[in-house]
Amino acid sequence: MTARTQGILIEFTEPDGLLDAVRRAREAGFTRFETFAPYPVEDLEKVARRKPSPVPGIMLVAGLLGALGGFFLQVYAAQDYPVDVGGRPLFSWPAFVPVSFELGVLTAVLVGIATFLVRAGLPRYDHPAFAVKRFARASSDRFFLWLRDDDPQYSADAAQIFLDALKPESVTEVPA
Amino acid sequence: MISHEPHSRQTDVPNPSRTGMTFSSITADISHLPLERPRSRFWWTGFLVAFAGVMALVASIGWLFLRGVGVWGINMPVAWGFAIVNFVWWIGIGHAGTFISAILLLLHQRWRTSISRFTEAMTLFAVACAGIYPLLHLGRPQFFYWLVPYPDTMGLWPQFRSPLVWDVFAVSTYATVSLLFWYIGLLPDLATLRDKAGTRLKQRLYGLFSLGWRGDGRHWAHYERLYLTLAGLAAPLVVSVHSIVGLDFAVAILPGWHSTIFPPYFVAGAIFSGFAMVLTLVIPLRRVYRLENYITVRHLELMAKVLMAMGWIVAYGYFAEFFDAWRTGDLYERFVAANRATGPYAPWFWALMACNILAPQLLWPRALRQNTCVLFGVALAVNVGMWVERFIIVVTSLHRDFLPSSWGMYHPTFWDWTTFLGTIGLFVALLFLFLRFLPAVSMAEMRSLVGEKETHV
Amino acid sequence: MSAHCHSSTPPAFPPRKGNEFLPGASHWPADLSRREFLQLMGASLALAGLAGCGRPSSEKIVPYVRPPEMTPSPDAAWYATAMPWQGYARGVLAKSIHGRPIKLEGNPDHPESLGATDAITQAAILSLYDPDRSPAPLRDAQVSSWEIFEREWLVRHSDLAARKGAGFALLTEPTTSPTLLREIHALLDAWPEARWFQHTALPRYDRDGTQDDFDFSAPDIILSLGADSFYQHPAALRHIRAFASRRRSENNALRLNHVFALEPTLSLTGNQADLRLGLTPARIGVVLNALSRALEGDDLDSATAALSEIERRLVRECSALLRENSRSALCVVGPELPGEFHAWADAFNARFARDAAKKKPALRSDGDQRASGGLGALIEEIEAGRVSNLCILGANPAYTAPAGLDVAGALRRVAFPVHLGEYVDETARECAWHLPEAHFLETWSDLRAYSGTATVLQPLVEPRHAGRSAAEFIHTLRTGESRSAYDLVRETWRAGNDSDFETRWHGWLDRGVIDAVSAPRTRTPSPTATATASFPRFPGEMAPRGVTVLFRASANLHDGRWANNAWLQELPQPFTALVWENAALIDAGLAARLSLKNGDVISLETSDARLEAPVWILPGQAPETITLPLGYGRTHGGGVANARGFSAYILLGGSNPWQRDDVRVRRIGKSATLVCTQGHFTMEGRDLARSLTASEFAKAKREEDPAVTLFPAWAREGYAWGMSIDLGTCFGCNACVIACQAENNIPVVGREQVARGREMHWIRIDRYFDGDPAAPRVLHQPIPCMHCENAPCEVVCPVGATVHTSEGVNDMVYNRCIGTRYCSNNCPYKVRRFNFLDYRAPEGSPVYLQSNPDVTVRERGVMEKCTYCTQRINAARITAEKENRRIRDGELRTACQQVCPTEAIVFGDLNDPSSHVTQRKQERSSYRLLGELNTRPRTTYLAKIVPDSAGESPRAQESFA
Repeated sequence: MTARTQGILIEFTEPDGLLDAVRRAREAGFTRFETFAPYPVEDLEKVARRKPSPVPGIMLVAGLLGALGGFFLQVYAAQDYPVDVGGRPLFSWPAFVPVSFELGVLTAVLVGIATFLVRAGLPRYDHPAFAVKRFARASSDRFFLWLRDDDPQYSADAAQIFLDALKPESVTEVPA
Repeated sequence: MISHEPHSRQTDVPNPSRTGMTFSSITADISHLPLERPRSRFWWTGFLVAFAGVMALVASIGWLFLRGVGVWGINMPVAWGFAIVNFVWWIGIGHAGTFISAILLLLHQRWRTSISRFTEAMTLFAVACAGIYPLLHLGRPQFFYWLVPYPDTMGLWPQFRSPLVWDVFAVSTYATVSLLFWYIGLLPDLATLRDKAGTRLKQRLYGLFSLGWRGDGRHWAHYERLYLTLAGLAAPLVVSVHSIVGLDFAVAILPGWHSTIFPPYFVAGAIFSGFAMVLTLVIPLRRVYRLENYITVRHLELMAKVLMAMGWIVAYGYFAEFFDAWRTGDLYERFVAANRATGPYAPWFWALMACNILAPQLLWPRALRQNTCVLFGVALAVNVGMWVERFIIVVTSLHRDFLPSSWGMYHPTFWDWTTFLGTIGLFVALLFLFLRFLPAVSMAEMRSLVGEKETHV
Repeated sequence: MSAHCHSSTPPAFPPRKGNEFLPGASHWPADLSRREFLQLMGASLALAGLAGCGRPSSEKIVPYVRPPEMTPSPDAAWYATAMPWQGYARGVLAKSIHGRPIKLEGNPDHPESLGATDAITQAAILSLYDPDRSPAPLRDAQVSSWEIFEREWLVRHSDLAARKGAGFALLTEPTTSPTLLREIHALLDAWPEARWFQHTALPRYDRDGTQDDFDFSAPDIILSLGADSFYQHPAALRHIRAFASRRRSENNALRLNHVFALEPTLSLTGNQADLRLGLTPARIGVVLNALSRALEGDDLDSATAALSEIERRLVRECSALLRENSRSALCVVGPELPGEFHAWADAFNARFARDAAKKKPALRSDGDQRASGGLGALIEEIEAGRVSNLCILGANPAYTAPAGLDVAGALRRVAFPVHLGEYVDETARECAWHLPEAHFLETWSDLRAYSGTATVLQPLVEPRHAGRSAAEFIHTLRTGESRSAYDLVRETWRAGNDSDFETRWHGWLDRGVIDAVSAPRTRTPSPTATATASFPRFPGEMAPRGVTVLFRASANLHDGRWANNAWLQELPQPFTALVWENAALIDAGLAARLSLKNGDVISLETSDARLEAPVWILPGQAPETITLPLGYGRTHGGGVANARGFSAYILLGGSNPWQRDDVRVRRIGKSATLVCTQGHFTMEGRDLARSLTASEFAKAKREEDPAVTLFPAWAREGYAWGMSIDLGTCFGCNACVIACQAENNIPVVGREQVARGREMHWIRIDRYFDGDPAAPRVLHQPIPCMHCENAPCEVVCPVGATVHTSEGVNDMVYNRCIGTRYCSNNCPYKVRRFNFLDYRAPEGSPVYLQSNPDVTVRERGVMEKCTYCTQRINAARITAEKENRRIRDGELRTACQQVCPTEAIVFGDLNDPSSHVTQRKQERSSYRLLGELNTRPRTTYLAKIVPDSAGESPRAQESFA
């Protein structure tokens, strides 16, 4: 272990292995670890004690604002160039509902996806884990735990102790 | 409406023990299609035929822009013809995808997993075909952007009371949302393809589009919440879109259009035709690409049941129209009803009844539901039937309205047909390209199913 | 269609010269599209050259200085002149902008116009710019010149002069032009041996030297025997105006007259009858016999024993009314009916007409002793070899002659046949010389109205081609030198040397009428029957001799001279709504017997001619009869005219040329597509074109304005434009349709486009068959835009291209329209018209010379419709604001209103309680079309009101379905 590393990448064949590892990591007081799985493993985030995603809340707010904005756009348009259309009043609010709804949905979706990308730190085309050859299977049938070396708890020994408790498929150092 | 499927859990999930399905086998089975791209005569012939259709579409549009919408059969009083019929038909087809992937997701119908990806793609391409028509049917298509609100020097705005403006917003929103929903769903699989890709080019391309997805816990956390919320939004959206398409007609004072039943009846019709189209495409597909393990007979049977359910709602819509005509005693409504059943377009009307009401009844016996040939035939019939339904709604209402003096007939021209067939070609061509370059079944979601099995065993 | 059209035209004689006529004229596509038509227009225009166009006339013409209720148009000048109509004057005011005549309106000061015109007069302006008009003198079909003709004529002239004109023959149409007659008489004086013949293609209302002069407002009872006094008669406009005054309610008061009609085929006049029977002439005689007996006091039952129920009803009602001796009555007869009917009518009028009917000596000059007969006589002369020089003026015998008369053959026997006409037509092709005649807006002339009043015709432009007037031509023939029409006309009217001639001349030109100059009478009227004379009897109806074939002038093309006018070709024919062709109008019973449906082709054969024609089943047609409209099937009438329909002239002949019993009719199994603008002729039991009996009207309540609405109504300060259309007086003459087309630059789309349902007329006339199937009547209902307060079209337009103005008019903003056509779908009245293709004329096409500069020419993909003549509203507003006043009621009139002979259309300000339109809407018969839709239309209708007796007939519309 002479080369500079950014911690170790621990590979599991089963989701339960990963779950177990994460639980232990938490108990060992690690905070700055990352998990990788080919599908959303149930309870993983709970075990990792991480806050639930704020995406839905933000989408709700954005949606309401979008709908409101759309409604006022239409009201303004009718007043801005006031003209008798089929004897209907300028403020024909029922006719303005559909467009308001559609605009609400559109804004919610766009903002939601933007939030997702920002929070998930995407797009990001470089990542230390990519340097590990085995990591290619993270997207199909393997489960990884990355203990980062910038974790205050992290040290070669601590890592070793932690590893002993597990039965990983493989352990690889993440090159700098 | 799916609640008549209580014990789906046990039966609908592809059973690993039976199919020997594992994380790796899923990846292998599904990713080899876009990655290895086995030589396939089926694919090439199919694609080339469809591409010919695209060329026909291009030619038709060229001629249309050269001469004007007069190259079609439209006239006074029938000022809307194939363009609107096809628009509504395609939009309807475009509803199954979102319905399956969003609404069934919310209803925890897990069997959707194996078909959602494919149906979303279908939705996307159907909406693309639909979107062409409103532009083409304009007398002066070069000014389509006047439908969009923007501050112009004259201080003019769209006229927001018009359902056509609602349409613009509904369809464009729907197209955008479907595309993003589909793309977000693709991210993990794109990552898989990136990692499995043999060549540098494929790695780079899939890598580019996968945005550097790594299956990070945080990715999954946000992803799941986002995906669910998107589904939650897509569900009312999909309903609103075809309701608004229904309002395109219902807002008019024309007998045969002016009816409050239209929005729900259009939504049901849309899902009806959508599922029919899914079956029409999936049945041959699973055979050719050997996806029987993923898209099982069980899936087909469930879709068949949805088809029947929707069929009955649509049938109710037809009934309601006639009932209203009778109940209100409105002279013109009554005439339109009678004229549909006995007028010059009566053959179309009865064809519609046969395709949309009689044909689905074949599916009552389980044996027939599970017989792919029968199912395919019924689905095909419903596709035709729903197209004819739109034709009946658009044409028979217009051709004989209030003043007998202005009654007329509508005869589609050569260019009406080529434009229609052209969009079918476009639709199929896009589907073939999709099968060629992207995973037809969501690997990530399949893994979840298998994963659950293993964790809950 | 085209196939049998060709076969139905007379065999083309081998042209004596090569085929160097107008490009395209001889080889025109049977069904040319609008675009082709206009491209060819452009082409022939290039040949003709625009030189003459728009160049104002050189002599001094006098503008119409006091436009009465004439919509002001800033840079428009009006000139009073007249249009020749069956040889008579129809007074018009020509609107000229920047030196281009663009519209004709009726001259209110003219007795035969009274400010109105008919459809043909409205369309005449288009013919002025017709590129098919003869471009130059032709010698043996080679372009030549007047100079060469004059030189060639001089040689013959001296020779003729020496022989006192022996061998010289002149063929003209009947005319009342004092100057032309003066020239002709001068020529006959100079050359006593010369002969003068007159040819008229159609029967005329002035017969054997006398003409009837009717006042249709006076009689309480009118009996029409196959007459078309309201449309084909030279004084039709005056007649219908007077008649209408008895058919409408004024301030809810009525003075209805009773009208009965017996006629073999539906006419616009007969259709105004409260009881109209479609009967063969023979059968009409039988009914008249019964009526005579009833009037002479016989017992009604025995008198009417031989009659059918409905016939008996007519005799009963008619005689009952006539016996009330306070009543005055009038009987009019169609010229197609044989003499005995006229004798009967004379007897009738002598008894009942009081002063409603006068016989006057004819103005027409074929009553002139100096004329030596008609076409037949001329051909005899030629056959006898007594004609070496023949000059044909205007007439087109080669087309209008029956097959029995071999005109072409005769012309070939003439050494030197000369033709003066506006077109290089069928006759011109057979003549050594063709000389272009000037259009009536291109030259000085004069004509008399049917009533005798004379008018000086002023030219608005120089002849576009080398055209000359008939008078000029005759003068050249006689003297060998040319003199301007201006001088000739002035010479005619300068009575001796009167000092203030110039002042009077100026006055005549200004007003467009020369009063105080009484018409010279040429012959004393034949003695009319006395009041006591008994009615002549008709032979009882003999055993049916099979099918009776009737020949009638076509409503749109008259005798065929208007065949090259695209507006008239595309104008829906009054009862059939057919366009671009004619059809054999057949009685339903006969059609059933021959198992014919609309469009099936029949062959009609006589001893010397055969014709193939598609049939059209017409309710109200007399049993066992077929009516053949004349005027179609031209072979060299021009690009628009050629090969449209069939020419029935070749079947003419026999003792009474206008009806034949010896025609073999059979179906030949072929079928053709006939194009019409209205495919369905019943109201399906819907309340559309209303009609009330007098007592229903008395009981009726005025419709109140429906207040049912969720929305606060928009305030309407200032003007609120609205229209009221009286179905009681609209008789379906179509004048408004063409007036609108001329005013608003409405394109012609051609036969195929109409077949596709894409005609562009902004105002259309709906026709519904109604009433007792045994005696059907057609209700005519003009449909312009309704300008609804709650306009359904506006709400659905996504770009606000159709919106309301502050004056409540539903406007189309062409520039904003993107062509979704939703507005049309949502218009319950289907008044909107769409430019499915580019219907505009190509650059440089002469039709732009007629275009109204105040009206946008619409491009492809744009919706359009009636605007209430918004350009006229604005012009009126400008004038009013300049004079700092409101627009006066009546000062502003829409094109359709201005032209209407019966004043059925009234337009004005609904905010002005005293305006005519507001008054009209107070009538109890006023109603909204489809009012139940709560569109609250600004255009409303007055129900047709008929005498109670006419209401008896059961509604049995289904029978027409």
